[in-house]
Amino acid sequence: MAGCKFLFVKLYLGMFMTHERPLSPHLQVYKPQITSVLSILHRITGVVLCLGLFVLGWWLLAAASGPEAYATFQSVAGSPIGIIALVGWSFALFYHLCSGVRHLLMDTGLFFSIPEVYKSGYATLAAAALITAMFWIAYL
Amino acid sequence: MKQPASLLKWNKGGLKHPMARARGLGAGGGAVHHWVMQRITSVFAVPLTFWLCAAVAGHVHADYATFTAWLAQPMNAVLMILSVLTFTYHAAQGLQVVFEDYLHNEALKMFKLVAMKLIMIGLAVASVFAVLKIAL
Repeated sequence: MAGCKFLFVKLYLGMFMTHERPLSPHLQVYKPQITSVLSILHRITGVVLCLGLFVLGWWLLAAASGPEAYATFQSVAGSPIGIIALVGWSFALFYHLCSGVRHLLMDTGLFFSIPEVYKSGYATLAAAALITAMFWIAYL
Repeated sequence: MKQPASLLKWNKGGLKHPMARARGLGAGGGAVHHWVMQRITSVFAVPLTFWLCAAVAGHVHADYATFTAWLAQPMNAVLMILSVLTFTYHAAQGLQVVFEDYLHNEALKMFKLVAMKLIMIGLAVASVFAVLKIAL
């Protein structure tokens, strides 16, 4: 009887889920863990850094265009929002760098056991935060 | 068991599964090259990242004359061009994987992939041109 009820519930839900089933990579159905969060963070920082490349391109083009265009870029980059964006980009850059190095090491077969995955994961986060802090301290 | 004539005809070319033939969406053969180039550009990017960070930190407040004079030095111009090319290539490859994972409409995916690649090429050309204009 209970099985019959379950079947009906499944069929009923199936009516709605046929076209709405979650497709890869199933971000919304798994509990966040350090492994998945770091992997997603690597991807998000990568996309954010793509936007940063356009800012680098703007900087170079502004310098090539002349003093006025360069002054406009500097006023935007030096504004509070610009500074916040630069700090964010620097962390994204250093996180993506550290995480990328971790991925390269994983390509050679390292860090495959669960304790190593956790240790290297937290080490990646710590290294990214440390390099970002060092960069801004050296800059200031 | 005798196979249907049509299957025999299409199997002459190789070992591809008939379903893959019917769909016309078999592997293009470019995945290994993509994977290897992503790793190679990432290894190049590590030292270039530190150089670029030092460059940005050292010149974000520099005035126009100082910055252009610095970028006009051959070593700085070469490293900046190498950075731009490495990063745009790596970024285009990374964005390609993101698009392939999250865009499920095949036609729209191809359109957005081509548009993205064109934009990244445009960015690389514009940045390299800017460096050359300053340096030359």
